Amino acid sequence: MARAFLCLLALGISSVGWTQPPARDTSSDTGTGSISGRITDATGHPLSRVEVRAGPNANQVEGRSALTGADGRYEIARLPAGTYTIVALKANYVRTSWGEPRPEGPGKRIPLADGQRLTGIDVRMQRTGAISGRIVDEFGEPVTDVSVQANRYQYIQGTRRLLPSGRGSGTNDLGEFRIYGLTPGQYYVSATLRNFGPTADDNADRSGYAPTFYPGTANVAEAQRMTIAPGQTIAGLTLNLLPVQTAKITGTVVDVEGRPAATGFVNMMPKTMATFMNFGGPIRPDGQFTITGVPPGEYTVRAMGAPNAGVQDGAVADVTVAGGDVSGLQLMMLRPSTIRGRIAFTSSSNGSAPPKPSSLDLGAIREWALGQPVRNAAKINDDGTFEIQLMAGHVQLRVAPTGGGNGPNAPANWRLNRVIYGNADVGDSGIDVPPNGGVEDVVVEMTNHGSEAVGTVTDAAGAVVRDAFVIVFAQDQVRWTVQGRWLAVSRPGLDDKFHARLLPGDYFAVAMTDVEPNAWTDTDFLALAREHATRFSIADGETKTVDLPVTPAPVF
Amino acid sequence: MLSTLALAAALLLGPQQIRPPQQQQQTAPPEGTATIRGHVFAGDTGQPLRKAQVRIFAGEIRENRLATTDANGAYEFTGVRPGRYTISASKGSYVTTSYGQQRPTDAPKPLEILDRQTVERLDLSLPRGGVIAGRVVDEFGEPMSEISVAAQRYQYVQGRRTLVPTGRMSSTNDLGEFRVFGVPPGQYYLTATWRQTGINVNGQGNPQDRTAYPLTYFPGTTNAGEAQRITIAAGQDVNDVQMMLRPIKAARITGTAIGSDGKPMTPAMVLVSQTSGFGFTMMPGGQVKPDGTFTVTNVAPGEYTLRVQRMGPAAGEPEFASARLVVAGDDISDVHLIAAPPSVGTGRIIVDPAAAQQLPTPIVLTAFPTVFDGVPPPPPVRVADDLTFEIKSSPGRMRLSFGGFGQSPRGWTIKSVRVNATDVTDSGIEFKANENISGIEVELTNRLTSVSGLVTNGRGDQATDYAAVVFAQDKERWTPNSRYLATGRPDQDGRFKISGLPPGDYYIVAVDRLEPGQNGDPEFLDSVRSRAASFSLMDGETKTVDLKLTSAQP
Repeated sequence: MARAFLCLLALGISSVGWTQPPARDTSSDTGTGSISGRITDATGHPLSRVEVRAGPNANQVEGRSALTGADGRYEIARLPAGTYTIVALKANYVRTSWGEPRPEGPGKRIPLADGQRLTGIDVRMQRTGAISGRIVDEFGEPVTDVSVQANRYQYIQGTRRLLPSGRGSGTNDLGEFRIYGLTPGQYYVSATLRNFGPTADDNADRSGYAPTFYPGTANVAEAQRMTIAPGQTIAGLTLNLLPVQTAKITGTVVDVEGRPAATGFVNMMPKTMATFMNFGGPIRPDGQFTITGVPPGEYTVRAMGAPNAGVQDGAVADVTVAGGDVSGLQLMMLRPSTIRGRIAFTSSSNGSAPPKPSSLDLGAIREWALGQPVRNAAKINDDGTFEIQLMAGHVQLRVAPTGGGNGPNAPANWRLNRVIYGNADVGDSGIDVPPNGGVEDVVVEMTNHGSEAVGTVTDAAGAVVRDAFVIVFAQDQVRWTVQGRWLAVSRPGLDDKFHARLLPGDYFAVAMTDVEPNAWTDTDFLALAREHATRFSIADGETKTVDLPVTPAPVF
Repeated sequence: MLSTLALAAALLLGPQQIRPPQQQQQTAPPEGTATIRGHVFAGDTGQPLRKAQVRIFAGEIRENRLATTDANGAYEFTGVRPGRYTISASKGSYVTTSYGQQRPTDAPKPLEILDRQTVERLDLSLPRGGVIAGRVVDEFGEPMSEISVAAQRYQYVQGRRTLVPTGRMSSTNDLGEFRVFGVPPGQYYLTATWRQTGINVNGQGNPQDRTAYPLTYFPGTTNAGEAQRITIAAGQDVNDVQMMLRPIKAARITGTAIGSDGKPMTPAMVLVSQTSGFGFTMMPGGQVKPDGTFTVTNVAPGEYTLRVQRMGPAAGEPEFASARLVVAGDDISDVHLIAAPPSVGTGRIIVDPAAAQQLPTPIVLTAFPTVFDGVPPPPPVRVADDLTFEIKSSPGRMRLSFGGFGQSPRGWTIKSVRVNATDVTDSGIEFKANENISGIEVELTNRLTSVSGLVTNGRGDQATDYAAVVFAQDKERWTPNSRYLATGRPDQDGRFKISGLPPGDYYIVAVDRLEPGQNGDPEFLDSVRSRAASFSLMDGETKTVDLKLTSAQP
């Protein structure tokens, strides 16, 4: 094969047309303090164009930030007095907080006084890891166009789920892949041969490949786990795609008027995390659809009509594929159901007026396939009445925190108190929304009554711990629901105390320094955390002091 | 230039008789009676190719089927309905090849399939694609990830020679490496495109970063005229290509989005699509804030369409606003977008009463923008039983087509679309913001025209490889995507056949070579007009026109 070398790094071309001005933060927030430092790679080499964020909540996109220059230096100026964490971000480097106890752990809090010029807040960044290798078929030949992902367990909606992480890769003509951007952690590599295009395959031959985990299994329990250390590359993997018999799924979609649905799409998603494929095809004018190449597994089949005035008819069915074809699947489209009701406010605790109902962000939440929550937002009128259009099913009503500032009547100070339906508080149990209609007269009650647990966290030696998460949760297990109203997570502030705003009730509280994000949404985690928890009760309007020792995070 | 690359894509009558794959009982047998079977081979080794995708397509009867080769490289279609089919095979890094192609840029030849016919050994040999591999670095020599690298070659698009990506686009990895594969033989310009709007690996915008990288051609120029050409022979690998991107100042776009009710438009998304260069690239620009303001950062110089769209069920009736912007480096502020609900077009279907009984049910109409700039077309609409319809569209010129996405009834076509007695079949219906249109008349017909014929060469022999080019005598109709321009290729009997042209006066000429899309180039049509024959088509007329082969070069 011919091989040409075209190394043509155009020599002598005058350098850069436009140069970056010195890094400086341009936010208009006034203050007289500043934080500066230098960002380097693992070898001490300065890193340019690193975004450095300062903030009480450094996750916020719109925090105060600056970019490093070619010398790796940054300065975030005009900061008001407060407590800050510093986070450094750059593509293909591990997100690093200053003073973090472990990779991607919480950063150390930095107190900053008025007029203080804090220097030397230096951060050393590690490159993200990579996994590379080759995908082969049962004959040992390379396979092109295979989607390869590195998956890790993460907490989503209260359960640990296997989710793709980093940059996945499609295999090239040599079957090669390289997944990069992996933060330190434990991964399972999976390979899926996607089927492109909506045309059904005519073949009687049903041979295909299962979504396969390294080294060659469809079962994640048999998969080989890989641990990526900071900056590590694991190369030279060979993953053998697992041959399976695939199925052809055929069926009919009927529209809301009982006629064959003439337009729209059918989509098929795996229900479990074992597969990552997504199948689909158009509905033919006679209402029929065909999906081919489906490996064994459990799926949710969804038919979607053409959206009309923002409303989409749909149908859902569960299908189990166990090798053989599935035919005669009947899907009947339904109009979206509605939840109607109004927003009410308790008497104000401080005399301030409640916020405008339409400034609230109310939604109905349910879990969909692959652990992705689906949220249908409410349309709220100025008189407080609302309407939510959604597919039938079991949902919970929740009011999302809005960025409403800190004023006394800001929406942020008002929280969901109760969801009243049929004379009961269904805030935790949720609402069953029936098909072809819906539910009426739901009252979403908001309150600004402030009960607050306040306290300090101390270690075994009695020293105050600032870098801790305080998790406060209801004693009643029934209240451990996803999106729960009875859960508060807080970190100690400038006063070295945590402040957890709560509804009146009986609670457990624990403090931990090293906890996975969102672990507290998992009931198993809460059950273990309870063992070391401090009990307390809080009344309406009460401010309670709850001092806590640091406890180890539960290990599964 | 490509004459040495004669690709063995023709019908290979291999000596060996290979047993067709076992056919299982179909649940719903297709209505046809013909069978097509054959094998797919690797052009370089002659080995059978497993899991190659074979597609048969007959536009006139709207048949589009797909099969995958088995372990012996064999494929089979049964129950094939009669029609003129193109047959193509593709697999991973091989060059997609159609029956009748001598060169990868040739248009495929049709195969006329009759009732109960069995076509055996319709074998296709796929050449291995070429490869261009290398690395992209920034101005410091550091590897750049997430750079889209494409091999582009000049092709006719809408009548103009345009650079079009060919083979697989590749995205650079963390080492800056790319590998563009499946490249057919030809001459290429390598481009590197930086993804915009500051979406980095962390999925968060970087509000401070004012660095952008413009579209760069190999070896490192932003000027297409200074780009260096790379010639790829069949199956050739070109390795170690290095490209350096140099930064320019990125612009920031800020503005407000107001709904038709005068309130801030929220919840709403900002979508940015780049309209300069080939096609368009759409990028999420972020959310409109509760106060109606929005900011899009890290925008490289270029032409863009900014679109704000209400999203989510809470948004109620969908609303949109869009603006075209030219970014030259400076920030653009105060972009004021005022949204409008979709305009409503109402109308009815008109059909010859004699044919009304044969109308397919349901009738589905789809509107497509005449200029596609990233604004999604409205969903297909179903015509009511009383033959009336209602289309909701965002502002713009929309052409109507019969059928939903990828599906169209057989034997029927749109004869004309009229608004207030004006024919807008080709120009499109103009939807204006806050203006509804009534009285749209869509006339359907099942009386399709057809023109076919044979071609003889200079020696008086029947020609087997040519392109018959049909074009309207009226130059005004030589427009992009015109219904009045068509080409035909010879089937196995040497016959061309073109169906569904609108009635009118035409020229027709048979040329020995035609680049894909070249028949949309008015200059080309002008150059062959003097050698063309004239003919007219009446409503539903079938005509035979025999031709003499001429050279495409004047």
